[in-house]
Amino acid sequence: MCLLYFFLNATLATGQSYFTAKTLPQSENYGTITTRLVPEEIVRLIEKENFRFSEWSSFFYVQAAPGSPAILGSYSIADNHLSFKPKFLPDPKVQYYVTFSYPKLNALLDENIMEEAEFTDIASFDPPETTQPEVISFIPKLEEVPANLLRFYVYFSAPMSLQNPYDFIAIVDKSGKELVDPFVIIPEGLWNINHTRLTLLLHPGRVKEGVGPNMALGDVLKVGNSYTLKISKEWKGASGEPLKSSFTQTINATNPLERAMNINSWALRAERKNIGVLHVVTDHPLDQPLAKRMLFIRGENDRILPSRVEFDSPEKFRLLWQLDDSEKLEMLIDPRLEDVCGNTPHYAFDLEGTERTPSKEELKLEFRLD
Amino acid sequence: MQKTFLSLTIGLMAFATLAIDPGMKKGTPDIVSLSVLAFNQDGILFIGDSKGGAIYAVDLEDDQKSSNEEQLNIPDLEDKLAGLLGTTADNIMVHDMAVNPVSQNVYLSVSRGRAKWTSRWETPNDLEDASILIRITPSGDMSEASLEDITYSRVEIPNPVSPNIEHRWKKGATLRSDAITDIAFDGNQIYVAGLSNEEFRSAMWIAPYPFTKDVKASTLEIFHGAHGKWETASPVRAFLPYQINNQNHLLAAYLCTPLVTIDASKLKDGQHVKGKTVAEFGSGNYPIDMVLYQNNGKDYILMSNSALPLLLFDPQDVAEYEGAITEEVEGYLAGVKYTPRSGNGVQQLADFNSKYILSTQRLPNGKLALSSLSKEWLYP
Repeated sequence: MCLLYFFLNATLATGQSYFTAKTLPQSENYGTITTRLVPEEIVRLIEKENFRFSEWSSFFYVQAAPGSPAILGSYSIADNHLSFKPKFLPDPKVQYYVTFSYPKLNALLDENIMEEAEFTDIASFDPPETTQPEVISFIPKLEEVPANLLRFYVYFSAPMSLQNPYDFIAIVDKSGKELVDPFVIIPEGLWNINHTRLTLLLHPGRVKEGVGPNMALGDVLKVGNSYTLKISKEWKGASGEPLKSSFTQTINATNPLERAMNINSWALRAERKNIGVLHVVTDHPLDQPLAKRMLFIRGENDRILPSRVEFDSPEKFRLLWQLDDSEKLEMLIDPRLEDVCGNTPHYAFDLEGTERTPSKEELKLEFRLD
Repeated sequence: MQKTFLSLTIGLMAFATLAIDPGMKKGTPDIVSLSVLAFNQDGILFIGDSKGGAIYAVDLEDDQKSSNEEQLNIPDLEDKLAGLLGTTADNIMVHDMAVNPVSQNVYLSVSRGRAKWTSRWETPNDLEDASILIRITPSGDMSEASLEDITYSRVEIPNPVSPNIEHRWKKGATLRSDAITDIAFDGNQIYVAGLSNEEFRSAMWIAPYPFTKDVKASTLEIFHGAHGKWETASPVRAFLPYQINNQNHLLAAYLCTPLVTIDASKLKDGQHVKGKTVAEFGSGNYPIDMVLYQNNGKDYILMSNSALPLLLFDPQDVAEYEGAITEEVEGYLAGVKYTPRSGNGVQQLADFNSKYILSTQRLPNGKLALSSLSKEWLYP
């Protein structure tokens, strides 16, 4: 949240500004300036007046330069704060002069308020990325996926806008017909904090046998069928520039993967270089972003060693760790780790009667480094 | 009784408004680009939306009659606009200007796109979609003229040029920004110049007002003296309806730079119409705007140009010009003569009041000024 707020130069004795500004370019409220310290009773007085732009901008105004007219935009009141949203995105080259004037507000109100101060501060804004974004990676990178696949991840080269992602992404079947409601609709999409990775959830209600959406609409992907996931180049990045090109990915649906992972069947081979390298081949294609957060190396003396995961494919990865004196090591696996279909080491995603009670058993695979 | 009278009055007023354009409704029009502007005599603003392929008629409720005869000058127009739009003057672009003949309020369609300008041949509409309408009162007060929750009607232009056709020689531009290049109101109809998808792209549409779907489309062909050939691909850049020998004509100017008369009676739906080239104003320039005005009871036509001074015509000279330019012109100049008037850098023109023409003018100091040109001073 702190990223969303940029505290302006201090003007109060307390060292705080009278205003905050939203400076994250991909925020839909980018450029909004809010007064933070107007007393609630005065906010209520302003609320009663139903001011027009010319009145608002006489006491609370933003200028592109001292002496310039108030920049165009809209005013609102929310959570006892007064907000100004400019009509156009802030220009990163410009320093904006923000003023709140009690004397000028007083001139508009019937009842006199005791405040007499006038606050002015300067706001500047981060420039949006100006390069045309492109799809740089797509996970899982598999031409053949289990028909009960749960998630896709799409990686972009630059932050994307907050346009509705589902307007630009479609799955079409071999005849070119678009699948109906394949995704769980999450308003604005499920993004990482930088807006460069989008998670697309295939509708779990349709993947899970026997529940409403599955019964009404059937499976999203049908075994033996071929599909194309399409991302339209009309989709704009946070900079306002559309994608450099459209993106397509062929998906062939194979037999569903409907069982828990068996980590004991994973093949491990450790190698000593200037760092430790553990080569792992798994029995299921893993959800890679989850795996990067849920796999660890523990050395002797119970020390968790700094490590990172590098995937060759969803079923083959390397765990690289910083060597210490340990020869007997363990790969720890968070029991919440999932494969691409939502199966965990303990549970199958879609197995009737399976209860997902948290297991206290530590999941680990031992190996030696000679 | 008084209440009844009031209701009756309101009812009659509502009827009167409906009688002007029964198709008007309250709402927020979905305008993509404020490409060109023009008013009718009743103060209804017409907006040509090239990208949206439509003409909008907007009642801005700007109907306070003004009889102002003073001039209006703003020496740093772009700086003022930049203040309103929260940017710097070098990013401000004025796309078109029109004056409401009822109130004398000045309207500008504006964007923040001038920083993209790379070629002297690019028009503002090639670079950016104008998205904001600015109103300037005769006393110089500037504000946004909101297009939200207004009374408007709309008509689609049939078969405007496709958004996917790249301009042959303007890098990065598509022809769609020229789907509507200029509009002019005349009597109970609006003329719309631009480009269509027809084989002969240059088009003139005529939409009745109040709007119906009965929009007539003609294609145009003219002889371009500087190129020495008949042309159909280039759109009219600026035009005026004008009566020549009591017949309705359009006086149209093209890029690089023929002046043409078009017999309006021939503009029937589906017809291909040849214009008569009456002047050539040289190459390396293009017309920007034209305005018809009266001074001392006589008509004059003033034209602004990308590279020439102000061009002043006597429309009588056009009417009396016999023959037509149908062969390549040596030295690029031919036909009806114009009087050059001081005014390099003048771009937009509009008839402001009984004494002044309003212009936007790029000054030697680099600023764009809103300047009043005295009709007396313009007199040759």
